[in-house]
Amino acid sequence: MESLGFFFNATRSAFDLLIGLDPYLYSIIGVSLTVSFWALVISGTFSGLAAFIISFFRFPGRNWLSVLVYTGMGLPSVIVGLFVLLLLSKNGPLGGFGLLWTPTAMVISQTVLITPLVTGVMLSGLDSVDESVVDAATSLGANWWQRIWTVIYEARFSFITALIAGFGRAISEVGSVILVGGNIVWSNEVSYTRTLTTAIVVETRKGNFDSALALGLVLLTIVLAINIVVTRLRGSGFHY
Amino acid sequence: MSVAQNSRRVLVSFLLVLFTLVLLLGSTGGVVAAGEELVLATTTSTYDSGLLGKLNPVFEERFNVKVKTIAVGTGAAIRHAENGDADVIMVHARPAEDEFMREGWGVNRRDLMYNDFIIVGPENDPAGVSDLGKATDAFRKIADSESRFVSRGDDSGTNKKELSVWDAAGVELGGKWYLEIGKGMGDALVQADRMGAYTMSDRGTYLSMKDNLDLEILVQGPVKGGDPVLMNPYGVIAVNPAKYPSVNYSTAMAYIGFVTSPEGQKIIGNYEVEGEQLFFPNALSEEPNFSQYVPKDFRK
Amino acid sequence: MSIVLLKDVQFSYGEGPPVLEGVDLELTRGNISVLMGPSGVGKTTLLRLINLLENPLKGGIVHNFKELSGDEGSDPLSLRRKMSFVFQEPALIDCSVGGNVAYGLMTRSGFINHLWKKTKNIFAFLSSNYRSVEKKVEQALARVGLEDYGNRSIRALSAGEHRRVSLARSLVTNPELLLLDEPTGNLDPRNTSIVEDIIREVKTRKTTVFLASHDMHQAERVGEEVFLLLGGEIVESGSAEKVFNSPRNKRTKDFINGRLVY
Repeated sequence: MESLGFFFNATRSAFDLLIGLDPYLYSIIGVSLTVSFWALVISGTFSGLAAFIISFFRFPGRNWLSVLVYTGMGLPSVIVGLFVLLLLSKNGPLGGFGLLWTPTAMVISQTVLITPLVTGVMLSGLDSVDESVVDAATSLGANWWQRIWTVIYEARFSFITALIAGFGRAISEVGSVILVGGNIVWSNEVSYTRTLTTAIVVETRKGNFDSALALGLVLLTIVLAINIVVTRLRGSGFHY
Repeated sequence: MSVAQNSRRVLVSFLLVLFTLVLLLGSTGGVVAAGEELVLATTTSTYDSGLLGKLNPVFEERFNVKVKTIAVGTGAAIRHAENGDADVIMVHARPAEDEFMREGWGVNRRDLMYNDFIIVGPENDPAGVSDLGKATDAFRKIADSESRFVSRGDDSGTNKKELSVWDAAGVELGGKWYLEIGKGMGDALVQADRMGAYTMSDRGTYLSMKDNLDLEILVQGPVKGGDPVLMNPYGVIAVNPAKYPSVNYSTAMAYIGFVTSPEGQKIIGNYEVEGEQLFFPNALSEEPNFSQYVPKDFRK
Repeated sequence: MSIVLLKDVQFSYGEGPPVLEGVDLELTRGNISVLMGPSGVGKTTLLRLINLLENPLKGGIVHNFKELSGDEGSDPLSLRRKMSFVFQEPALIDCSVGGNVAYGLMTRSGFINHLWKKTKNIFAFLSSNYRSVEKKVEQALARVGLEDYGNRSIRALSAGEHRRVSLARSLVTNPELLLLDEPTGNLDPRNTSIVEDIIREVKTRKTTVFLASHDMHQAERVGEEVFLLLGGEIVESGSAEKVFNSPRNKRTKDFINGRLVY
């Protein structure tokens, strides 16, 4: 019962934080959304292209590439963070750009992190389009491009699922953004590179478990809201 | 059709909301005000205790600088500095600092402040260390009775200190009673609390969490007249511009100058959490105190 | 006279056993021809070969379509666009009924515009020939008795309706040759007679029909010319009456008597 009370308190303080328009909290949510959003835009574009090429073209090393993609889906975020940290560090190959400890660095590491996942889900969606639909398209006079467009259209739910999964992974990931972003808050309590997840790390480190849990609930609410919208879209068939 | 139109409306409004949020919140979070930036890599204890929240704004306003505070362990802070990814570090592990200086990564080290470590454990004190008064004796007794001990195991300043005390006590580590958790001080305290184990903590973190813990101070540090071995001095070091021309050396020196100035020292001395002073400034002294600028064994 | 001519066509899937071992077949323009034979004998394969979805290992297939000359006469895409193939499975695209029916029209013009159009979004205005497409789609749906189904999702339809949508999808382009693979398989009597009426109606529009069926009664009802495929060869051909009443081959008799298991 004691733990139930703990959850109740956390829910209440999460609610209080949200309606209290706490600028610190909203700047953290802003950084979380912005960074994950741009990572998703970049990764989505790249993954769409990669999935397209792997699915529709036969070239040497294609099987290895798809094995690489599916393996990369489980990439630990700390490994990605470490990799990007060494890459962007002053004595690393891209050190000259001075991107370490910036939101851009976080976008880079999240993009690297979610691209295999997004590509993999898109790829399996494209590969699972029924062969008979492809035949039907051919038979109805579709040329190569029209056929491919039809396959992409048939796989559209996988593309949406891929983007949602990618966004979910990006916004709830902590290992890489804390390493390359530095978890920075300006002195006026406005987040620069602190996200919901890294804020949870700070609160946990300080022993403020109720604040940490409240932040966790805010994060869950965002992810849940996105998933509800998508589930509703899919439930309605999404063809208007 | 109605379901269909509805879902389209849901999609459009969802995208609109997301875009608006990104634009609104993103603009507040992402914008960097004009002025120079200084990357301060420091230990979690200075940041999490709230001290930097008092110290840095005054500096920022005075020098028109924005401080990017990267709060990590002492080991990681030093490593970032060695990679050229920090301008100034504020850490608490003198041997590691000396190493950093000897290898030429840092220049102009200054003593900044100190507090102390304490050994905490469960109220019933199964190993019976509360009357010993000496850290090495206490550690030896914990090891002999194989009472559980939680170690940070994260190469932080606290961890380095703890290992040096084990070393001084002549204890070979290993065995199931000794747990390395690889986490921060708060986590270590919570874990020790849950398990009824001993641990070594900096006083500040312990004080800030005391209310949530059933752990008692069993061996005091020098702040409360206890074992001087548990002294926890903090130093502040500028990254050597000869190693990395890109570091913001002049601002780093301005920062060091500020925090070791009478004004900065006063802020440190006045900082209290729940009525307790956490850090004791020691940058100002009557003596030249040359050894603060160089490795401790310089010219010995 | 002939619209399609097959000469000694042999085929197997990959390294598998031969499916067709030398098929000779001539489809007469304007007829309803029925390809008969037990299940698994290769009827579908034969239709796929005619539709150029597969290439024969050996032998030749000649299509004699009007208005195709020179290079177009040997271009699979151009040839395919003169015929339609209704698969045994409806194989519908996951969009609206109208979107499926318009598909064939739009492969021939403004394809991407069309898919956008069918999702009725802000890109709709891009499609200039949308009105004429819409009209043809409505007519095709009327022919299969699915008036006002255009905006429905195919997910909301029954199996019989799926079959009719897939028929409408093939009729809308006014093909010279209509290929049907078991068009009434698994359908109830009412839907079966609807589909057969459509087949007869198609003939009146000068479309040649070639349908594969294992139902002899259906062959009798609609077929003007019947081919029997057995053991990878056409063993019997001619008018329905001739094949059923005086088969030359012993196995044809077995098949007609129902002794041949299928």
